[in-house]
Amino acid sequence: MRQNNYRLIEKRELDDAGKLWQLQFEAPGINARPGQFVNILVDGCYLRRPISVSEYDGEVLTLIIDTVGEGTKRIVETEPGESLDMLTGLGNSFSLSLKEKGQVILIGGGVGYAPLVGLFKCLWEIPGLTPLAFFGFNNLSTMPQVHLNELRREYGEEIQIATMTGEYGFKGNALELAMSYIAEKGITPEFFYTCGPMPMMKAVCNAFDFDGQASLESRMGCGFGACMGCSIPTPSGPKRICKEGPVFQKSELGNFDF
Amino acid sequence: MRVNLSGVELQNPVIPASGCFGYGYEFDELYPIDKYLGSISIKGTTLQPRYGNPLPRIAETPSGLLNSVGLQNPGIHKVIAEELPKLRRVFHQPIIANISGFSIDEYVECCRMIDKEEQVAIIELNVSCPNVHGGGMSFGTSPDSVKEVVKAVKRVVTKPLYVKLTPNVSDIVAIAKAAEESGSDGLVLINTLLGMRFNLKTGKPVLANVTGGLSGPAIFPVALRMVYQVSQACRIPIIGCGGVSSASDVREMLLAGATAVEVGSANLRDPYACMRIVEDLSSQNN
Repeated sequence: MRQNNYRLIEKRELDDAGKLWQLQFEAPGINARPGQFVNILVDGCYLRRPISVSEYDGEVLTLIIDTVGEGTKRIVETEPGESLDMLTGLGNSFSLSLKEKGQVILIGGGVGYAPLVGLFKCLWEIPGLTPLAFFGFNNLSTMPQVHLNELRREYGEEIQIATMTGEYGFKGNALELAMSYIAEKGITPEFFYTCGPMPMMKAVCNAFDFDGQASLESRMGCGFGACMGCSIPTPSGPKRICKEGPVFQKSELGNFDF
Repeated sequence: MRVNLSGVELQNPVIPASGCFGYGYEFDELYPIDKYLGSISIKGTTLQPRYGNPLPRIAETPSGLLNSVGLQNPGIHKVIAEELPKLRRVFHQPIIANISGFSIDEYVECCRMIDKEEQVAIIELNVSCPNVHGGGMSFGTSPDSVKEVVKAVKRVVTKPLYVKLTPNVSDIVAIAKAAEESGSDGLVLINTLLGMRFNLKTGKPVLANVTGGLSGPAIFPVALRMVYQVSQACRIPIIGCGGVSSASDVREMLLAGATAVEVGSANLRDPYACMRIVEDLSSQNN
């Protein structure tokens, strides 16, 4: 963990509803692996706001922020050139060294797609792995169209989109899209990664007999393991989402009874 | 900046408060805690392991937060066997062990065990827990139950005993006096104030436990007032606690009558809070 001020270099709105924003910060030399998060100090709020790393190239940290409340609204009000106080290098990360090589699937719901973008790009670079991403959104206006179009241009059919309303792509949620696509194409995935609303991740964990990882979120007090504010019960004892997580193995999550 | 708490000498008056600093050693990755901290009040410990309350356990408030962690801890045996040795490797100052219980017997057993640990210099008794044999009322809300638990624990410990009082009472001085009269060596003032918040999107309380403890700068004036009132009425040393976030807050606490100060929520917002406070205090002293 490190604390520092990081300068915003670019920001853009990703959806028509004006809720999803992409912010890029100059942040050389930090730890920001896919699955890790940063905790941002916000003017006028007491607690920091935990935000997952979307992408990091060793220089530029990309965050995607869903403006769900006062804190996140204030974060996206930051203008390029201004800096934010962040704790970086928080939490564990998605596993990139899989026992079985082959097809892996990524299932993201809503802003849960954000950390999966960086993960997808890392997996894409690993020889022998074929990542396939399924991202689901409520409707067209809350969907990060610009960003998804860029991803589709780069990775084509490996990025699949669903909307609940059917306004764009598959009609249904990201899991339904994944199940339907897998069946239709006769794909046999070896591993899944998921991030999104808890009920969706629970459904994902229950849907497949192969192993996978889910990235959880929670209201946090500190974000670095000191307060026990985000601890969940697991078959192997209590675990802090911010410290032992946010990425958990399917087997650690039991029936999501927390 | 050295201070003396019932014969225990601290290198300075700044102590991270229980529940906001884990078992301390995690913070040594950030700054040399042995060099900076007067002591550490470790995470509240009970006899049995406790998971605590369901999530969400945290809610933001104006100038503070509510928590309903519910005394999550691995139990006294594991704390002694696993956590204290890790802290010992990086921290050689006297430490404060915060002990909770849901019955007199539990307090007594926990305190008896922790009293034998060499690195523990002071036992901090959290009397804000509900008494399962007393209709669920918190031990700390009645002078009689405070007397009962303090007397019982004093019989089995050799180290100074400090009672950490709950502010959720009508007369804090009466409770403080009860602790002093029954043999408490010092007091820690204050624990969190009971509060709640609603989520307007769901119409339900934010905390799964409905209510939680309010901490942070919002409660600093309340803590200060209680430390002041109690210091006028009692002779035993007081550790001031509640919303302390800066060196000037520390100095106000000392003016109100505290001998040392615990820093809680500030560590969550700024993990370097205690280090900065100590640096500011020493530059102000010079």
